[in-house]
Amino acid sequence: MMKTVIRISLLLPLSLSALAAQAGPAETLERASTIYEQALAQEHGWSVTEPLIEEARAAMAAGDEDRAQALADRALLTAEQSLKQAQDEKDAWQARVVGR
Amino acid sequence: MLRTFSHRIYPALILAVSATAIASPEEDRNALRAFYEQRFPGIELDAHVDGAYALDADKRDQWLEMEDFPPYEIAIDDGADRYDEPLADGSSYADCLGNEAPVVKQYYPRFDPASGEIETLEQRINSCREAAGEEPLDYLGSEMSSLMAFIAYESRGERVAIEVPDDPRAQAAYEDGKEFFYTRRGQLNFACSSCHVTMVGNALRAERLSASLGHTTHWPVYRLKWKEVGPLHKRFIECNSQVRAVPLEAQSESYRNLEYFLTYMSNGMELNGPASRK
Amino acid sequence: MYAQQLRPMRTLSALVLTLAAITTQAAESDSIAEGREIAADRNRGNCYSCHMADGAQMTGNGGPPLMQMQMRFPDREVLKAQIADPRVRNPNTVMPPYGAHGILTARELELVVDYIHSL
Repeated sequence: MMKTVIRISLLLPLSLSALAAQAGPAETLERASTIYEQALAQEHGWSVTEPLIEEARAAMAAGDEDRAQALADRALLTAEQSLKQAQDEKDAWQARVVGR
Repeated sequence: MLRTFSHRIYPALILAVSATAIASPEEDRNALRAFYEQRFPGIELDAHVDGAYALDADKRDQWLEMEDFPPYEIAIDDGADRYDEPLADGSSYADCLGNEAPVVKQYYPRFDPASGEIETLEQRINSCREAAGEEPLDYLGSEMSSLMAFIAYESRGERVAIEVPDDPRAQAAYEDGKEFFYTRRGQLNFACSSCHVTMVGNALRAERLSASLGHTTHWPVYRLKWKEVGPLHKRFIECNSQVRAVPLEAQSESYRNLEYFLTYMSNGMELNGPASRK
Repeated sequence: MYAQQLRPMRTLSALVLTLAAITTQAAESDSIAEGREIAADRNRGNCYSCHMADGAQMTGNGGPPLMQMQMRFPDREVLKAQIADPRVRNPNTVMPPYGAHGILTARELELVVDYIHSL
C-alpha cells in the first residue's frame, strides 16, 4: 500500500506537468469549451463539463494556477470523451437493437 | 451441387439481410415482446404497464396501498375543470380534439403530415389553445399536467393504437427515436436500453429496472420524488441527467421521436394513466 | 563493553522499525477507508448500485458481487484496468468507464482499486 502512495504522488505531478507544459489553464479551458459546444450540438454533451469549466475559472480568478489546471484538464477530458462518444455511437447503437 | 445450393440460398439470404436492415416497426415490436417474454417467463406482457411493480410482489403491494388514495386525483379533477372551461373564442378542447374526445390518448403521439414531424398530445393541446386565441401552456407546468391527467384518466382501458404511416418522414422519425433509445449517452455511458433491456429486472440499489413495454401507457405520473404530477418528458430529462448527460428540452424533436418509438413498442397495451410511482 | 555501546543503537533501530510498521499499517487502512468512502459515494464510485460488497447497504445486483477479489484479480493492475475502462474486456458492458470518462480522478481510482482489491 505504500506502493500506492508512491504511485499516486508520482502520477499526479507527471500528468499535470505533461499537460501544463502544452498549455496554461486558460488555453485548456478554451479547447474544452469548443469541444463541449460541438458535443452539445450533437445532443451529446455531458452535464459534468460545464461545472468543471466554471470551477476552473473560479480557481484561476483566485490565483490558484495548479488547481485551475487540474480542473481544466478534467473539463477537457470530459469534453473530448463526450464528443468521441457522439461519434462512436453513430454506428455502435445498431448492434444493440433487440431482434437485429 | 454446391453451386445450385448457393444459387438457391443467396437470394433468400439477401432478402433476409435487407429485411433486418430495414426492420419494420412491427418487426421491432414483436422482437422486443419476444425478448421480454423470454426474460420474464412468468409475467404476462400486459402486466408491464405497471413497470417495476410487475416484477416485485412486495413492492407491488406497497404501491397498491399508495394507489388506494391516488395522489394524482386532485390533478384529474383540476384537469376536468380546465377541460370544460371555454377557450377565448368560445370553442372547447372537445371541439378541437375530435369526435372521441376526451378519449384520445391512444392515438398519440402521431405523425403530422403538415409539419412532417411527430405531434404529441401536449403539442396538440397547445395548438388547440393557440388556434382559439389562448397562450400555450408550459410543457412541464401543472396546468398541462392536469389536462393530461384528465385525458389519460378518460382514456383508461383503451389500447395504444398509433401508426407509422407510409411516409419517409414518419419512418425517419421512428428510426430516430429507436436510435435515441439504443444510444449511449452521458459520462456514465448508458443508453435507455442499458437499463431497460440489458439490465432489465435487476436491482439498481433497491430499485428494480422496468421493461420498456408499457413505459408510455401510464403517463402523466405522480412521482413521490417530484411530489407532483409530471409528464413523460420530465422523466426523460431525469433519466438523461442521472447518466450525467445534458438533458434535452421537453418536447424537443429527439424526445418526441423517442416517445414515438417507445409508444409504438407498447401498441396494443392498455392505457392506465395517470399513475403513481416512487 | 562493546555490547553495552551497541544496545542503545539496537533499541533505537527497533523503535524506528516499529514506528515504520505502525505508519505503514495506518497508511494502508487509511487508503482503504478512503477508497471505501469513494466507492460508496453515489456521486463518485456508486459501486453498490450494481455490486454487493461485505458491509455495504442497499446494494444492487446488476454486476458480480465484490468478493475474493485477490483471487479473481491476482494482479492489481488488471483490476485497475478493468475499473478504468471495462469496455476493453467487454465492449457490451454496462459498467461505466471510471478512468477513461474521468468519473474518478487518477488519485480516486487508485484508492478505489486499493479498497476493492482488499475485498
